[in-house]
Amino acid sequence: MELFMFALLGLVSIGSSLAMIGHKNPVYSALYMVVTFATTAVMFVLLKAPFIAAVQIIIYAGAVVVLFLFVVMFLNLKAAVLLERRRGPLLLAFVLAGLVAGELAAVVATGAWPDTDEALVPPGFGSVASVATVLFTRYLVPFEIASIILLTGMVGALALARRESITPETAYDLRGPDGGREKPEAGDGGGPAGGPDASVEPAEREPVPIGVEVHR
Amino acid sequence: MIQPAAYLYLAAILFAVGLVGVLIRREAIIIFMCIELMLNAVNLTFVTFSRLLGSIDGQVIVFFSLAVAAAEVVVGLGIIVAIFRHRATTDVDQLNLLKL
Repeated sequence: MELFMFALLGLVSIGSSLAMIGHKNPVYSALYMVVTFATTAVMFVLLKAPFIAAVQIIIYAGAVVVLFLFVVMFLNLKAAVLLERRRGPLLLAFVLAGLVAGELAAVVATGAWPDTDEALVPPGFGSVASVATVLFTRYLVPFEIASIILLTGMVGALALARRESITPETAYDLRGPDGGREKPEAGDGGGPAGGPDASVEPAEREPVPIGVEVHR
Repeated sequence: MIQPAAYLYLAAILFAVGLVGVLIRREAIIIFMCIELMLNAVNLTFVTFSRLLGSIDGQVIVFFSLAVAAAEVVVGLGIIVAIFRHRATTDVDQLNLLKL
């Protein structure tokens, strides 16, 4: 039964991962990635790691793939670009990946793996309690470091995604205390003061509302 | 349990497939997905060895790997969005300048 499940899951995961790297549309690639991660989660259950399987489903299929889909739809990539692959080093890529796969397979084939029996694994192996007992005793410091990493990632994502918006409050700082009249090119971007009004003497120019001029 | 080497072979195949994807695709998002696939293959190896050795430590390391991968996805996708905002493309062949 386990052999049948493993064969089925292995074929599905390899096929979906191949479809993931081969599909021209990133949305379909993200959906094939869900299939791959779900089959891996079922394999975690077969390997007596139910907690890790649940975490895999929640984090990968629930959070990461949704984030990928959100970014793919946000970027609005053009379909013509997606069709293109790298033609030149395509053969080289397959040769290199085949070498890596052969190397890994050689390591696995030459290894002397012990025969696994059910007596080796205590009851409750891989449950929440067994993982948490080790996680909060022996790996307590790495656990805290992981929380710091997540906090840093959140702050970094906010800093990267922040748009440099110019509000009327910050526009005063950008234009200077005299409203930017010493440098007329500073506020020329499509505002009412740009274009033909640039030849007017700065003293005679109409004071432009701050919010209208600086917002682009 | 079936032979544990079967899981290790499968993890090696998935890792190689992710490597092929990194090498042949141009879109930065697809490359990022393939990196996630390679991470996932390594996680499968960790869980296999955890089962093989009867030690829970492998599963704890997979837990940390998932946490770091989540943070990595957030920052990486933020970088991709920032690049797309400046360059209007995520083709890695065209992203060959450090300046914007």
